Amino acid sequence: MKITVPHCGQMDIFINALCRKIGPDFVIPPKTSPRTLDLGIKYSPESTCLPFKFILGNFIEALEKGADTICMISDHGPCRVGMYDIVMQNILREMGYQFNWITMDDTRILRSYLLKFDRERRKRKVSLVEAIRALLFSWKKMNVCEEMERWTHKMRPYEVDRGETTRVSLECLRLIDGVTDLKELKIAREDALSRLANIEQDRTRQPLKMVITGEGYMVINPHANQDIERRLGEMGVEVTRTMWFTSQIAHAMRLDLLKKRSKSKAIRASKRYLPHNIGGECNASIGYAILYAREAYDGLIQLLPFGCMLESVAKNILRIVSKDYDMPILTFSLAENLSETTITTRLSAFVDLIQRKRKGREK
Amino acid sequence: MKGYLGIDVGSVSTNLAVIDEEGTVLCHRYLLTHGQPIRAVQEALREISTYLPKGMEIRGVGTTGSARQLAGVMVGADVVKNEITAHAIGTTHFFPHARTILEIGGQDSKIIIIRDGLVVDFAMNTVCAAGTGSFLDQQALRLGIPIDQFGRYALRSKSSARIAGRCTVFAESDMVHKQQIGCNLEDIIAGLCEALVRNYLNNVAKGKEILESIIFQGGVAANEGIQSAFEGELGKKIYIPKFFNVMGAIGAAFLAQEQMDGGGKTHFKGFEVINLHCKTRSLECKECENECEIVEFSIGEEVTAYWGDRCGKWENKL
Repeated sequence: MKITVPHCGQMDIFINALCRKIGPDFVIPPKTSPRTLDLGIKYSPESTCLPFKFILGNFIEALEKGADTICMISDHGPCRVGMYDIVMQNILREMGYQFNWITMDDTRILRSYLLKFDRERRKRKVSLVEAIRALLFSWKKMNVCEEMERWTHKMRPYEVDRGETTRVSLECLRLIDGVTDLKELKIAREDALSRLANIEQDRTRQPLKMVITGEGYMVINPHANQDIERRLGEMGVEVTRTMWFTSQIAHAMRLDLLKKRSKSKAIRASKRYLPHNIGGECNASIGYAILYAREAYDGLIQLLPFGCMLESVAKNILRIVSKDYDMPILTFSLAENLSETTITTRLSAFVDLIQRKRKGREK
Repeated sequence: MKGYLGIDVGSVSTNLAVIDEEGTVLCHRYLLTHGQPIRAVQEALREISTYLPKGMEIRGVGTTGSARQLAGVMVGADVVKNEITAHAIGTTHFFPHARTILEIGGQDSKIIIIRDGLVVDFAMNTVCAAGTGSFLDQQALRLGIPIDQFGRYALRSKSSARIAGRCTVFAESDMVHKQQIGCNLEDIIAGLCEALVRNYLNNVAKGKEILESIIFQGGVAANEGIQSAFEGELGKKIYIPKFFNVMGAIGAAFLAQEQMDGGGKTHFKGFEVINLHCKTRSLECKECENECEIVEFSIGEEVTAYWGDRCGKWENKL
């Protein structure tokens, strides 16, 4: 069995870590490239949302690479991801591919995952201790990766040579991806931190602080959001995002109750504006705007794939939040035909807006 | 005498403006880009150089518009800014009480919300160019009416035809249909103006608080039909500034002034760039999966700039 999953943030590092320890064989799709999107666009219904096209492209490229089993999440809410798996299966079969399909139904039903995982473990004769150890190791590795990413966000606005932070951070991720046990992980983490700290910086700058929220796939994937974190960082903005691989899992397993910026806190904060949790990331997007406004962030960017119903609801409510909390909010509706100029024009106008607002306040 | 030059290279037009230290507009040019930004900038520079007062010294240059980067490396700009900021700066100079700017250009339309002289919100058309200048151009051409008379036709209409403005393709078939059932041209054109305005208000301006004073600018502001449709739909007075079609360039000039007031010497290469042989070439970087499209800019045989790379490797090369 050769399983594949779509690219989602740094999830491939987690899966690599896990399958190197206890299997099964994974075929990670080639990094999402323009070709991936071209394939996705070619075989997708025209009006479907952008994540669909990327994910379908990932699957096609993974099947080309020899995958025979596809693992895909699904949902029961109003989000279109609920129809992804059936439609994708049909498209891929019509293209002539043969494969097994595993639907990871509703991320909230944890028990069934664990059961599936356990069945697979026994079939492969991996001991329970070994399996738990491998899981914990991969989880820790993922945490270190995300810690690196957070540092990257913090350092980038200070960098003197454009692009250096990005380069160093990629090196660090590769380094972490390569380690095989906890001891090595510790060393790699320290090494990575010192490399990041050695980047030439101009500490006289005063970066703006912005948060990126919105539909999960768009927030977590640089290839889908046109590398918005890097672009903002290079414009002198310290960014953070509301969606991380570990935060999503932790939320599903209710492990994040004590965290300051947990998704459940965000959903609770949104109650005043939207009492009913309508699913997807809608309530969280609204709630996070409130949480970060309270932390005196300068601005918020909401990302949504063009035509996303849930985030369109959030978008309209965010307008009121923006007024109530005096925090500028920019909504980005992303489709495949967006040009680079379109993105940079809006981003730099938004950065200008906030900078001039700040200057006005200082006067 | 000292002045500042602003250059706005848009999809349809290339505009230049020169202001003096007091912010008075000394001269301006409006030229069609015709898909050749380099030539358009050179041509506009040549024209404007003949209007400049004798002994004028350019103390700073700002570029804006969708080809701002290209124009910037070409002339040696001191500041390269997005058109939203540029428009806002230009307009608030002439209208300190402006609270809304409606801007419709060749391929994009935007709304800028201003409070107390500062931009507080903005929006641009997203995935569709319905309701921008290019579409009006196209329709004027199809109907055989010069674009500068388009608005006057609309004003002559007694009862406008109802046309769907959501999508340019459907709008066009709607117009053809109205023609075929015998509606007169004036009514169809008035209907088109109203459709564009409705589309703009429902799309770009959705959810924005449009407060007075309202300034309407960009190339499409030359169209009286659109102005009157806006007034009808909003029930408010719409002002069209004298420099409505070069406001971006004027804003860029102000930005250059702001930048140079901070000190330093201008990077402006002088009016000699008119005669230089500038060219661009695009290449695809194959070194990682990003496959960035790199633009290479050269003057004569010498490559002077690269841009378009995500990693900065090309940009830092020179």
